[in-house]
Amino acid sequence: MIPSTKPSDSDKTTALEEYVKAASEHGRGTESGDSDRANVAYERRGQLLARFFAGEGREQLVMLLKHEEPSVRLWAAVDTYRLDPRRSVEVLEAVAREPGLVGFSAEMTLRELKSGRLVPP
Amino acid sequence: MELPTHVALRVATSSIALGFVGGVDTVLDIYELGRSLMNHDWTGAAFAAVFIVIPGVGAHTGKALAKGLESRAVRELGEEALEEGVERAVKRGGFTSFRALRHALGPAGEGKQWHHIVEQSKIGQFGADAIHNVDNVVAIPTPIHRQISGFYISKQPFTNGLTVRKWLDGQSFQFQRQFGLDILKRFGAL
Repeated sequence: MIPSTKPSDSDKTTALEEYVKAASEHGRGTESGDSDRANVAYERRGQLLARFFAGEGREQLVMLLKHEEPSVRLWAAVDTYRLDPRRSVEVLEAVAREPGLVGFSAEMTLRELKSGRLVPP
Repeated sequence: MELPTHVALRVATSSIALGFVGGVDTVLDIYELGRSLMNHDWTGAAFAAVFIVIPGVGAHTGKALAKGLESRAVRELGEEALEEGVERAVKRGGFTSFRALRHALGPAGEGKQWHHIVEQSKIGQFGADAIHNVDNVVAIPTPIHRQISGFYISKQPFTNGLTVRKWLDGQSFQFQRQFGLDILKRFGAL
């Protein structure tokens, strides 16, 4: 459960680890066809984003654009799009070249961003 | 897109075989098909031809005429009509149920399943014959079928909080078809 008080630096570090875990889980659920696993991770990431990475806190996610896991890079790119759209697109393009459903998801995310139908958080 | 010859042959031979071994009701269905063709009711004839391959479908048709329709002349008419009807059904490629489509196509192959390119959940949007259509199914390995099916009920970065399936609702058939084909290409399944 995420506390409602203002997060400390320690909380933020833990939150970053939790964000990575959620993004990674989402990727694994997606690739294996386990939608429950993917959707739980999706919601978890959304909660973390709202609680710990709103406003200036969002910049902490930039470091994840170089994460080893494609699904973590994918989510970090989406969630930092407002900070640096160009870099975000570069990362999404690279993930879209990855095989499997995470790569496909990145490809679709790019299309939707470019069309203006997807408004990043 | 033309239906593969082996599929056409399967539909035709199944239908004709059932005409001979399926009893009076099936013969009656063939007669109905012939009548549709004589009346130039091509759609009715095409559907009748497809329904003949499903055992039991014709069981309700006009029992009062049964004895008269077993004659050699009617069978010949039925066969002739069937040939044309099947040809048209095959060209159209659409079926009213997945069961009928599978019956026509035969098994997907060892370790494979028939996969709908545009999902079955979109029958309400596009109609059964567009979804249960030879152009809309492909035989793919079962694990890939499960992965893709799971993907459709997952939430993804591009779906604005919806599942992929819900996000696709209302999109055109062409859009959804391209989406389905793009996924399959990812797996090298096309």
